[in-house]
Amino acid sequence: MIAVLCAISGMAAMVIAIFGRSLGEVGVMMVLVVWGAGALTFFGLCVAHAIDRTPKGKIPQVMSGLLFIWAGGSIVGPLLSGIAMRGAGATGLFGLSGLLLILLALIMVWRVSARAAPEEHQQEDWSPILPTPLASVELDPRNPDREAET
Amino acid sequence: MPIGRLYKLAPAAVIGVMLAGVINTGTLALLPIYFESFSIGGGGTVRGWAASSFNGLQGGCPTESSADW
Repeated sequence: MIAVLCAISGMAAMVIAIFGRSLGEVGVMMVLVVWGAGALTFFGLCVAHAIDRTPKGKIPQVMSGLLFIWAGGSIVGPLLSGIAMRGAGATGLFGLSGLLLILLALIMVWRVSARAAPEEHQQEDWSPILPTPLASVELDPRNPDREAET
Repeated sequence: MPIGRLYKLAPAAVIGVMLAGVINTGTLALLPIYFESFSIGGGGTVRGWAASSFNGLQGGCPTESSADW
């Protein structure tokens, strides 16, 4: 699924990079909708993928590690985009985005062929929730590893 | 958790979240400059941001429902 999202989003970015000027403002907005559907949703899928492979007691450590890596990427991203725009002008911004998304799609296809996804019974249950302020959230006190120690 | 252990646990997730940071932040941060090249300016940036975010939010739930495909 991540590979499909990245491929669609990558192609949308390439369309903006190559045909951006001839599409005009409205055309770019419409293709941006497609780009957003892929590029802005796969972070959650990557986190879910990691959590499916994580023992229950290690979830906070894995989440903090993933956020740290995402933050590192967020520092590098604007720098790389700036270099791409300086080198290739307006084409460079979505050109870089498209290339990286297509590269990510290929990496995901390679990973799927290298290691199968966990069985359904090994995966964590999930349900959609709205963004909630941390103060109003009740933390789940269960931790099987900690219970085994005590 | 050290990044090496995290990579061994779920390499695709580590690569994915890193590139999510690079792609999303990099593109959205420079969107105003991109729209300046169209001579659209701030209004275009806001509409562009809204257009991408709209489907990013609306697409999240069905995408994650179908993630086990």
